[in-house]
Amino acid sequence: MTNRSRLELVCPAGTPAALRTAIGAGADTIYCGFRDETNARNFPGLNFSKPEMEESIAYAHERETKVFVAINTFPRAGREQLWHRAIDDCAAFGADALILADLGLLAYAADRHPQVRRHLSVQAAAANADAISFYTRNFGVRRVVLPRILTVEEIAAINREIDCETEAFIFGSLCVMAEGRCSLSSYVTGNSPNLGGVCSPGSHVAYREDGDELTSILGAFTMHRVGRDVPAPYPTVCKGSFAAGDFQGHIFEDPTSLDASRLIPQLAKAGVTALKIEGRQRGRAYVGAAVRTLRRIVDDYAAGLPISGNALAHLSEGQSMTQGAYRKVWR
Amino acid sequence: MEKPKGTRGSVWAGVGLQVLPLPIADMALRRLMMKIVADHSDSFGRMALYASAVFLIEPTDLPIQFRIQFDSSAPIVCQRRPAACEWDARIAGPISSLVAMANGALDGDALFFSRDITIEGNTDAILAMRNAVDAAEINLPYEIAGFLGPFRPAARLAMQIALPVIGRVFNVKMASPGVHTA
Repeated sequence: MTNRSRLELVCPAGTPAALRTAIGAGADTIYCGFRDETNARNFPGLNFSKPEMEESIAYAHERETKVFVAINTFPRAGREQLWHRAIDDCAAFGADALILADLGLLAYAADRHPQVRRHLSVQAAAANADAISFYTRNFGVRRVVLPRILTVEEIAAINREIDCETEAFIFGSLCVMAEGRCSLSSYVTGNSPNLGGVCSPGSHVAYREDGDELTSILGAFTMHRVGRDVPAPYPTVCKGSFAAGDFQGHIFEDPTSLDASRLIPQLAKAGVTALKIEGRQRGRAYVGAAVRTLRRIVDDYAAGLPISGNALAHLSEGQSMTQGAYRKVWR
Repeated sequence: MEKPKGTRGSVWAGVGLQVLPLPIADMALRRLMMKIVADHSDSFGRMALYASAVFLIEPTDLPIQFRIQFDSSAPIVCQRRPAACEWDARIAGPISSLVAMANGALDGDALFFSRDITIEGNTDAILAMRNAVDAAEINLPYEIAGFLGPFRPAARLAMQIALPVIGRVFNVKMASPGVHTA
């Protein structure tokens, strides 16, 4: 049995209650955001007010847990002040890192608050060593959250060439598009996830039951029609079921979720520093179960023990899991 | 986390609701809900935009439904089902799933994905309510014991005896009323 380096487990929190749950379940680090359009999980009733953020950072630090704050949407022209204030508040509250995507915000944070770590959000879609090095060289970025379109081999190649840490998604909902640049939801709803913070906003989502059939709708488009025993999908365009020529089905991606826990040894060997659980929009029950399970798996790996499969499929969209692009088989 | 077993839970809850006359259940639920919302006003402030929305909660294995409107003088109304009722958002599922979700023991999205619960109507309002309830860290046994006021010691004793049984019936973890998990 060998001891290996311990990977950092970065866990989601959409409310102070979820933050406490995640810390109790063994999170090393929490990531969260303000209750406004500055973060890419701007769902109704979710996220932190400024007093909640200040109290939650203090609560986490008392328990030796770090807090990263996602300010990872792109400011609307003429309204940059909202994003600037969010950065200033995080610095004042003692956040351990800012997760940013916009070049202007990276420059603002580096200029005004150089002492606060800057991480590059997955929303920046930096998917090669040259792009990442641009951010490290110009804005002092210390960590990049890797897009979910890279193979393990590509991650290893990136890590050989860059001089910052990398963070990889290990579990949760799966976005297969170039994040921060995807306009599918904007096209259907008129609202940009990259500016307003919500992909497939609930205001444009509808479910209709007709006998045994469940129809899920986004805007004016039907995304799925499923029978009684088929898991209910959330109507995102990238996971919708469409007809194209003779083909009918999920053209881009199945409604499934990422579970790369079995790839932890390979990701560690590829030089990844931290593993990220997706799901700030999910409730305490999800956060507690996901963090507890992955804490055990990460600790087992660090202790040189074999990694057991986890039992989190019931939490996921589609009730099924994939290793996503990490094990890309279509190239 | 296992999926709830709705059938046995619904039998117990159904028996309880048949023993308790509907007007008394209605009044008790109304007062309990008003106390919970007042005690967790910060959390329920998360759904201020939807305070006027009408939510219809339908336990599919019971002959009743709950009409909820947070800014109404009667924020919850317990009705025999089916009753004519206009609503903005509807959540339906086995009573055990609905109780476990309110108690934070089961994940609402997972219950939806697995078809244990169904939702219709204003999805934003449903998300806001789910997030507000989750943020409130509601512990139903604790809330009920607090609601009973001077009878709290007796209620606490009764729940200490009953909770392990209820937890097994609902297949969810039910905290002791003396231990608020917030």
